[in-house]
Amino acid sequence: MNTNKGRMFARLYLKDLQDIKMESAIFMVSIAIWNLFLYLKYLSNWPYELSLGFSAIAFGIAAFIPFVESFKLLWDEWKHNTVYLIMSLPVSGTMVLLSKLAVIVTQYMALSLFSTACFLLLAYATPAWEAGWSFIRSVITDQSLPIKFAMLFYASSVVGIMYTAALAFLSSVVGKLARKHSGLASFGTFLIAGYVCSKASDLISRGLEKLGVTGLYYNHPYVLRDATISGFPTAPMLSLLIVGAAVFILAVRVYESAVEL
Amino acid sequence: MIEFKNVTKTYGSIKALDGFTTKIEDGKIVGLLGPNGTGKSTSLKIAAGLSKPDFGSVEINGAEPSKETKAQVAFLPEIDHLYPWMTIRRCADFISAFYADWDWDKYKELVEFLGLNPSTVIGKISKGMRAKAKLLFTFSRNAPIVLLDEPLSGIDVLVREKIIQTIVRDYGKGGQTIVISTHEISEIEPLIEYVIFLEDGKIKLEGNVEDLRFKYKRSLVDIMKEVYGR
Repeated sequence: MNTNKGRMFARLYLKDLQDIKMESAIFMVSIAIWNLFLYLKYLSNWPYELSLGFSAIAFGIAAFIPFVESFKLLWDEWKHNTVYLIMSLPVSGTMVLLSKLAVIVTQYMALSLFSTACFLLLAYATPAWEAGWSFIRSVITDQSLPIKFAMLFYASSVVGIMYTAALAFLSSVVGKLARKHSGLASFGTFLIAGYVCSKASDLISRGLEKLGVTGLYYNHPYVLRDATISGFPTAPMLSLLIVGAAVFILAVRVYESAVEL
Repeated sequence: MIEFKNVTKTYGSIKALDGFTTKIEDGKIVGLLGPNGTGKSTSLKIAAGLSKPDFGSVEINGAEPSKETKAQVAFLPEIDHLYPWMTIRRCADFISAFYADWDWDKYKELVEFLGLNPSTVIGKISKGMRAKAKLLFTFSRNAPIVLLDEPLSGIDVLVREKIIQTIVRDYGKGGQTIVISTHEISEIEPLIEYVIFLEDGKIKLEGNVEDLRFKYKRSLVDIMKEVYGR
């Protein structure tokens, strides 16, 4: 039999992807129905701003579901005793957790892009599209700014998801070290690690800015007409990536050296 | 060879293994026997790399348990450890990707021999069928070391016979090392060549089955009763 790391990673990734497929599909169908409902409400004389506002709720849910899933993916391995299978495989903890991280990011991208598509369709079907574009185009000099800003925001959100998933992995594996009340131990670890990491991230971000990496805000934030995005990636994004990577490595270390069955 | 060197493992106040020391030679079917809670499962989990000793060490062919040794070990835990939403075929696809010694021909033969349907969802089959499925994935590999933790536990007589037949079916003397932990000795007595009786995490008695039978002039089941004073 041919075994290589790429194939092993793919199997782990596809296995977890299969596991979350149903939840993701349910969410997508719900969002589609929700947006259809909002469109019908707009047709029945709801203000379109209200319909779009409610449609935007899906963005929050699209981020919340992968966050919950990052706990669930690990906890389910214990719940179904499949952790016995996973831990007996000849693979590193890095590969096991990295495949789960890849699944979380995939789910976030699928859900957020689907929510965005539904939101844009709704906007397109209402006067918001024309009004919004007309306004933006009339006040900005750089016509590509909205796309650039959306990409910057989206890349930041992906980094944010990776960071929270790493925190969830660390909390979950630390929780599994506790003989009793492992859920409480996970929750406590998540809060404490989250606090420490946010402080560390702030410090690193400030340090990066001193080194010349640009801050989050685009230039001239109060003068939309001359706005430009001054750099990519931004210092907060980089610092979150650095802290998230450190947390992920720590989670792998705990998983490999301390988690036992 | 599997070597336990003075292995001690505690869970809270319970000492699962207490200075456990033994060498399991290659190419033998070894019975790790004893009542519940004597450290049988713990010793197998440590050998499989799922648990770590508090003191002492374990070596699999001279190396500490790691992902490299896991590639040489096929471990069958007592509990159901397969993904309940997977079909048998899908589970085989999943597991096969990790082991160079996976043998698809053996898998197909065993599916037929065990009377399993590859398209069956694991979570929807009976306990006996799940036990067979676990055995299928363990023996579809040509792993040099096979660790079976209570493979007969809670299984009806007919399925037990099939499981025992599967264990001996492809056992190549001199090649594969099979360690079977169980507290139900009568069924596996004809299989095993070497036996280790455990009590409170320590070896109570060990030796070649034939030598012990000759020495005690009785069956392994009766020797066990004497060893544990029952």
